[in-house]
Amino acid sequence: MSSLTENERSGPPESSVQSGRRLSRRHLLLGGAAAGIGAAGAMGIDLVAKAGIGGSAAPSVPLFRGTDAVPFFGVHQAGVDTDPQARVTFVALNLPAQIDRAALRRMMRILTDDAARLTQGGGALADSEPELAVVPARLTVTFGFGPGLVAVAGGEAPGWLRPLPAFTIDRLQPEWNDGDLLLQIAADDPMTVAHATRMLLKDLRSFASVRWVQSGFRRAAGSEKPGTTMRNLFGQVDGTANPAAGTADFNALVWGTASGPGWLVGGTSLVLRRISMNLDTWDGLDRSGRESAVGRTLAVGAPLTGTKERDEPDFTATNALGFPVIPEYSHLRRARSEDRSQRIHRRGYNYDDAPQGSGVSNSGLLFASFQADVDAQFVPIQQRLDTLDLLNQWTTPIGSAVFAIPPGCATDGYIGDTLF
Amino acid sequence: MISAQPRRPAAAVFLTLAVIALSIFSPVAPAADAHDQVALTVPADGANVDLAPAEIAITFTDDILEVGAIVMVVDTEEKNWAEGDMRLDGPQATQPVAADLPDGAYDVRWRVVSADGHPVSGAFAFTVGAAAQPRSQSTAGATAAPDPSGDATSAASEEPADGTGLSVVAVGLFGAFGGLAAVALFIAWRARRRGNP
Repeated sequence: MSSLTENERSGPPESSVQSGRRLSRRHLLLGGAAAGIGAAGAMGIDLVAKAGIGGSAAPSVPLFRGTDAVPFFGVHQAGVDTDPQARVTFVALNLPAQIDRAALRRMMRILTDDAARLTQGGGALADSEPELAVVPARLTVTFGFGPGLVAVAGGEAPGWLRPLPAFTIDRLQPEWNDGDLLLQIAADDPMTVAHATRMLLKDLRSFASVRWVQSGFRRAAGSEKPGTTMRNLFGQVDGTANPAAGTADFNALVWGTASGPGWLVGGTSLVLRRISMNLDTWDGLDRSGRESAVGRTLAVGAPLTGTKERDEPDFTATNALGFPVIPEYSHLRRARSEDRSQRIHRRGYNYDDAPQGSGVSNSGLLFASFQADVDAQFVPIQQRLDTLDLLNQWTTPIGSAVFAIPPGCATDGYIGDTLF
Repeated sequence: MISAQPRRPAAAVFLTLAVIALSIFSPVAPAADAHDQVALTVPADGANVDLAPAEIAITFTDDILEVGAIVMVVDTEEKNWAEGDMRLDGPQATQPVAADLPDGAYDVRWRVVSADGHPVSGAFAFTVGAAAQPRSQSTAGATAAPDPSGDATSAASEEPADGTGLSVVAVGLFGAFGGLAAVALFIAWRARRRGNP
């Protein structure tokens, strides 16, 4: 096409061209246009025929309902086995040095009360914008305790409640690390998340100060079939190996009680890692290189030895030269353990902030995983990824925090009442 | 001039077809290959050496990553004679070979990850001792091939999940020819009209 434009630009003025020449160009253009229209038309008819337009098939994706609410009270806190909402805000807070156990108890009663109201579509107790509270959009508020809070409360801390061991790939920035109290506020509507966050932080004004805030997103509610594994901003299907909520497998991996103190029965742990993803250098890698780095296809997330997302990877399969089809340095191979207890429940979100410096992106993953025991489940996986994972070429952990997630509470209790 | 006119539509049709063919097939064309290539191997591909080499050295056109480099030195019985740790230094990978490497024919099969993160792999052959015959040529050749190499999985992943890629092209071409036929008829009809006003 560009050569045609070039000819037209450099050629003699239209008026001086003989009629035959002019006709031929017009024919050429006309022919191209007609062929294009014909092609488009034929493909359109083909598509319509395939899609069965005019049929009365019900939409496979249920409509998004802003009034949907997730129960707040229960054995476990919501927001762990809840089907992930579209938006999240994680907030970590610092407790002041002089705070005491009684104040913490008051704090958790107030937070519990307002979280329970907000998640059911009611305003907080002193809601300044109650009209914003009427769309719960599956809002969940999940509380986590850092080592500092457990120490003030005088409770026994689980052995894993401390910063993760240092990994060689880490480039942690202190402003994204640790914290005494964590709020995970998630809903399918960003207004709901913003309002709930503000109400709860107002509650915390006299108790604690904000340490960091990290917000993330997935696809909007209703935009995909329920249960679709999320994609990260590299385009990869991310989270295929998760245990299914409600199964014995999930209960053992997430709610298992073997390693924790008594107050944590019915609770779990959260590892939150801010992982910067260098989209600008990832751009330099072609599709097969990307698939080789992760060990899965980009199209459906199938292992390179399979065709469907949930096909079991065959790590023994080799190509014509004798090298593994799923490379031994791939993320899939390195993350996978023979030990079935070394698994976690991922519930991550993407972030996409304003670029800094000369780059055009500042994006990444809020890697969030729940597991009964950080040391027994998360750490071995991360150690394997630390020593060898081609994805490390494009990803850098820049923040890291570990929290104990206390159990849920009864309607007359409050989150953390087993600790205080 | 007038007599030349009937030939013009033919040229137009030809050029249009060429343009369509380009527009349909160019998106499928592979991206420019900027990955590392092999610049030099010691021993060279197809070489016959008197003394068994102590190591195999492969030099690439650019630095290779520390991750994922493998070099195998395989005899006709598929035994791998690579022994010891590979050394990586900038664009060069050096793999020690067992000290008692017997006379015979060997394939060197290698895979490295280029600086941009893309794995490349390939193979070349050499023989040790005057009597040795090169082993099968099927895997020989020092060209870099993308990895995962031409297996069904990676090829299939280029296609939409329901495998409609080819049929879309076919339907598009069919439509394009339909459109061209209409134009040709139109031009023919006009030419006849002009001939008999």
